[in-house]
Amino acid sequence: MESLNDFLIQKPRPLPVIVAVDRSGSMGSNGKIDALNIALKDFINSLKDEDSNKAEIHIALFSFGGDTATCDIPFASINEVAIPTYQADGRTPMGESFSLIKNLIEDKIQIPSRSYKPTIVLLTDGIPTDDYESPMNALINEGRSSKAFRIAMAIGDDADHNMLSKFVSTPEYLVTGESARDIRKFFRFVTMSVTQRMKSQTPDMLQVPTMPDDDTLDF
Amino acid sequence: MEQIISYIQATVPGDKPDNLPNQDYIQVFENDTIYIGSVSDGLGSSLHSKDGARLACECVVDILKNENSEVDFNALSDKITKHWQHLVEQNKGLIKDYRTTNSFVSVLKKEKIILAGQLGDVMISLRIDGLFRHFEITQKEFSNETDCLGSGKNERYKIAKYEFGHSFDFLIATDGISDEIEPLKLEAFQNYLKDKFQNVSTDNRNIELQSEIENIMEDKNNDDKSLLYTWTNRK
Repeated sequence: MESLNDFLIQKPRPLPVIVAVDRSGSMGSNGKIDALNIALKDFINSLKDEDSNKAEIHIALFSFGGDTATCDIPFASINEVAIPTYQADGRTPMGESFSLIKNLIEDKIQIPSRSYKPTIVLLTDGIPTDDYESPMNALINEGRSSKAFRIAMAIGDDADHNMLSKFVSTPEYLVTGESARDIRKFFRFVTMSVTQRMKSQTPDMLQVPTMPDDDTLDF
Repeated sequence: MEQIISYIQATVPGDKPDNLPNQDYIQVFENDTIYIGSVSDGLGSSLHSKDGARLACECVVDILKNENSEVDFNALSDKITKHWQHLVEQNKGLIKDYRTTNSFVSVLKKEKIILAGQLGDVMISLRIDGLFRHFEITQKEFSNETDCLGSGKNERYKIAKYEFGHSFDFLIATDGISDEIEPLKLEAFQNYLKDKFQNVSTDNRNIELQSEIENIMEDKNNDDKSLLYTWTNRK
């Protein structure tokens, strides 16, 4: 006998989190790539532990280094992903990663319109070595991707702070760091931002958490 | 041959904190010449959306019951929007705190005309004389990204007019329902509603529909769910 269940799909709305990280050669210095690998694992595992009646986190992970940007975790439920380990190498083709992210967000098959707005997370210690301006402008100003929240971390003095300040949704979403330790702190900040959205009655409103104290980090 | 119009309606609050009310609203009006069904979905981020949703339905009924099929669509949209703002101001509220979407279907019985209007993402699915007339669904980018009354921008209804002959049925549903309908099963869903509920006594139809929606609500679903389904039978 038929019932409403035969016609309706009952699923929480997806809350997309799209991460792009730098794996260029400079990330190999001062333990940054190792800190990134640990922080990414902690970040994804902590999001797996989150539960909400409003949303289910879906994640995609991109990286840029060597000669190209790659998609290392295709967009999927947080509970279904395996976390890669990065090696630092090569140049900083960040612009290419912007294009990959934009393509994902514009795809309504992968990210349906019933989803909450995506959060884009960018972490880098350098200056883009490819043509980044056009893809970045398209990502932040045009179409569906312009609605996403954008958070970034600049590690060290070599990061392009000017470019990153244009990238982020709000000045509070640009986090600067000097050391590998700051990378883990940044991902804690992102975790808090995402979980605040999940628990909010208005997940599509900008949420700016307080940066966690060092004391709250477990090293 | 005269048509008898029947309808079922239900609205069920989502799984959310106790202090947050159901912000959907349904209103039906019928007399000898006109049938009007209107459904609103108050936006969760606004303080008085529940009231805004109710006022939108009341406003649509107030206006449409005095209109005929020759109405100018732009004028009708303006009239509804302005009347809604007037009602909100009468309630001494700030318009920005009353944001709501709204859709309506008005059946002019003697003229055999249907007027359908939509502002925002409350779905309308019409079947007229056996053929689906797909009312263009608002293309929203993400959840909660929708045009609405009280937003201050794009406050304009999309309105369409259809003639009907022997029969019609239509579904108006808030996104708590419409976002979850399997895309290829919309026609079957309307068949299901008609086949099942025309065989339920009038007194029990809404109770049974309400119960059926409550039974499918799961923990991980905080959306209010509301639907109004209307169909005809020949006398």
